[in-house]
Amino acid sequence: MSAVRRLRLELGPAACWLALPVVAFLVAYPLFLLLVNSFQVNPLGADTVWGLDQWTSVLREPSLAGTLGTTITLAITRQALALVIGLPIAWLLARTDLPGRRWLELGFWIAVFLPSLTVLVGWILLLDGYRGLVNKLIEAVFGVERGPVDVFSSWGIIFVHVMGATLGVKVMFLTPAFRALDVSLEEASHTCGANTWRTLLRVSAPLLLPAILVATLLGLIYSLESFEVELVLGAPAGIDVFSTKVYRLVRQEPPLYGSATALSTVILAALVPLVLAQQWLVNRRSYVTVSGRFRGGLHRLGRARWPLFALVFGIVLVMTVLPTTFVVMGSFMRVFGAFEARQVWTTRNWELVLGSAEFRTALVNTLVLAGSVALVSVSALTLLAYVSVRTRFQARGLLDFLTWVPSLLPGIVVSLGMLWMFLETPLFRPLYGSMAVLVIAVTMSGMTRSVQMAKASLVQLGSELEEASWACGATWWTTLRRVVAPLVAPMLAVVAILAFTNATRTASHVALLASASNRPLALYQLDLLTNGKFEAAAVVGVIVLVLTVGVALLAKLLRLDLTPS
Amino acid sequence: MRPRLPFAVLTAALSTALAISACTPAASPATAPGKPSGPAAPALSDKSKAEVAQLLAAAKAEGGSLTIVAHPSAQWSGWVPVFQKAFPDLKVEFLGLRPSQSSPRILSEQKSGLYALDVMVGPTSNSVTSLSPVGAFQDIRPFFQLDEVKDPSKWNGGFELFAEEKEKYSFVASMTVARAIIVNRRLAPVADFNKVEDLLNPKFKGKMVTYNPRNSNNGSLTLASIIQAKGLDFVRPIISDAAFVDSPEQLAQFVVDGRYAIGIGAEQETVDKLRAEGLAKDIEVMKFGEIGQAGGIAVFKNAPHPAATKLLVNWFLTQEGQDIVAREGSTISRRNDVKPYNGDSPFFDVPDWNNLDKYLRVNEWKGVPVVKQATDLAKELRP
Repeated sequence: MSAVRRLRLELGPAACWLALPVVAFLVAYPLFLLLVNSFQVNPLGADTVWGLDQWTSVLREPSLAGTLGTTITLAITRQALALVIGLPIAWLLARTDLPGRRWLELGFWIAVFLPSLTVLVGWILLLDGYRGLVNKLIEAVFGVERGPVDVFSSWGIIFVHVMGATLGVKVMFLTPAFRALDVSLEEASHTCGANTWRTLLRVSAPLLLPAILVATLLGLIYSLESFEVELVLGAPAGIDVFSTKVYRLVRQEPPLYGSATALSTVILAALVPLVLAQQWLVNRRSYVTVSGRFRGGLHRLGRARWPLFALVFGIVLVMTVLPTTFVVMGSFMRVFGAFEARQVWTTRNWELVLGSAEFRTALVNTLVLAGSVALVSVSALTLLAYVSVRTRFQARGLLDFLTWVPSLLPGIVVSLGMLWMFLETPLFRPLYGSMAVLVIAVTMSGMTRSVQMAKASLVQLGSELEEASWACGATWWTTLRRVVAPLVAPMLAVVAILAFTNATRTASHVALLASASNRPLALYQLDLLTNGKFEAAAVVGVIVLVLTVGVALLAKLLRLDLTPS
Repeated sequence: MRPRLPFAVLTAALSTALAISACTPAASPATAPGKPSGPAAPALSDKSKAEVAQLLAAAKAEGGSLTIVAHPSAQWSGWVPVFQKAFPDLKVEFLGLRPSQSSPRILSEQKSGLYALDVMVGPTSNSVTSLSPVGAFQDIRPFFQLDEVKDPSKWNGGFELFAEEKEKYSFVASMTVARAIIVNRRLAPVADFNKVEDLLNPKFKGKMVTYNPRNSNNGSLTLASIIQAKGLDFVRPIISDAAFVDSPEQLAQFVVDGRYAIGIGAEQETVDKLRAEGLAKDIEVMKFGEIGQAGGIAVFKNAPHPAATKLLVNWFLTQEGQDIVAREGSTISRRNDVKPYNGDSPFFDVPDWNNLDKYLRVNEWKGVPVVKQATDLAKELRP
């Protein structure tokens, strides 16, 4: 297959060369400031003394190797499991006549939107070794003294992640990519005698390599950053991962951001080669599936239709319905999970939250923030993806690499770099304390995912569609708007929704930047948790879920999907 | 068939929504969490009222704004809405920041020449460890004005009590004796566990859980208190053996469930919430391992609204102000004309005002090094 022909960008190289330093500044400057600070021995605010103390204290820690080993093992295991389960599910949802497949797909989206901490408590309720409902059932049925299930373990961590966002994101990424596969490729495979499974493995999956690679690499990165589940489930079992160590360094008094940066750099050094390898693999051949002769189609499942539906529905039930039930239930309980309390149910949590002026302010702030982030992500970040994949811009590889950088360090560390950037850059200083600063910070936090999602869809487009448009006299902008965008609309919808969701939930990137008047719901929810008001925090979780599912349903209502002809 | 793509519709709708949001009146500044106000606080004297009115006039002339930084928990910021209500002409902005957020943000702003914050209220440990050593505050004494504030006879432990050893930044306004060791009496009867030495009872090996003492929290503070009483070697086996958790809710639940018999570093809110619902019936709070927790008020360097700051500092330290602060936060004021609002919680007690040094005062300059010993030991034994 010939390489994708690089298209001439009408805006000219000048526009691309302008975009490059802007992106480089926004992603690299905070990182640079953090790295410089990590070589400062004295605490923040004290006189500057340079040295390696913050690095040596971290790198010489005896448990470092063990912690990194645990981190990598947990991350790889759950990514592998999610891929093995997610790939066939995505194919079933996108390429077969599975009943209710659009709503099942929505179920996987909801799993990504669910508030992780509240869902985690739900899983603890079910799978705790002492009071978990599953163990109680096993003990009652089999007469054993104690059930075998304990969520406070490595497998508990893996299970909670896989049954949550990890598998959900895989399905989100891969389903639109499968949908964009030309059915003639699979028909050709069947004609040659290959069965459905062989066709999936030898024809479809390789064509989806960019999407699979990006989904896996992103999943790996987010696995390495994730700490809430590991903190709650891992600590009692003595399981420590890299992200919990970073979290604890930042929670010291005074907080040790230099050491946290040093530790984060270890993971960064491991991830950079993976990012470069992914770039090389994606660029070495063509993955075009949507051309001028594109034809979509559905594979008929025959007798396997309803059994497969039951299987996928069962997974959605466990991933989405069960945790959502717990989240909603928790918001109406006096003490979350305490069914044996004197009085179990109450509406006071909802009264507390809905009656709070602070909540109403935070809700408005969140709608503005999330809406703005979604718009910027769909427009600016998609353009970055387009330049990276569809143009001959000489520095497109560097631009693409830069879009990975925001994800390579934990949010709680990056947030300090961004604070310094906004305070010390004359251009940004007037914006400090405003909503614009939060929009920039949150957009940057979701940049990698948004750009890579858009890229995964763009590489599947054949160039002849755009060339035909130009041949008819359309400008670059008209071609982008009338030809390219409709074809990648499903992915753009996902980008917008994920960006919106990310903005409603991210607390670490905005905690140091939010002012008194623009605090979003995520920080309001964090304050409730700090005050021990877990049930009220569940109320906020339900509201955020309604918001994000509402946006997803709106996208479906507007028929932002590629309808096979 | 050409796919339908109402991007323009979606974009227009979103843009319109954002524009409408941007054009709506500015959101009110965030208010601190707080319980509904209870009975009216003791009224100011006439002289104090007149002085407060003058301070308010000066604050209005200055611009009528004030920014308060406090820990977002109700214990430290529950009083803010009451203060806002008492001075409706003053535009009060409240910024709830935890220690891991407050020091990097405050110091970064000051380093870049931005002085936007006026007053900090909360546990003084963060001030003593991170902010005071680098001069983030200014001497608070020039801000004291009202006679009823400066009267030494009104303050247990004397009027001028600061969290720092030498600087006069963080005025200690409250002091509470806190306890954080809980025991499940089903698993640890009184005969087996009723004094600090019983923490080393072999019966409880593998049966203890502590709030992760590698960080500064009730776990490390309590262990610091035990270090002060019994020495480092006494605490070594406890830290080596106990399970670590990173949340007080989880610690309380583990002990209530019976997964562990003893919990070190429990917090009152969680256990009291369980108790109120008829749970945690077997849980007892032990009276050893006590710590003295100071809460204070400090004024930032180059505070942009000095007149409003003066108003707040003086109101805060009057009988009325301290009564509201203590009631909303369930803390114990150092003022002897303000009743302690710790309720019947076994987690708190009124200090022996004549013998404050018998407690490890964890939020002040004397106690901070001992807390560091506890966290360092935890990191050494359990890296």
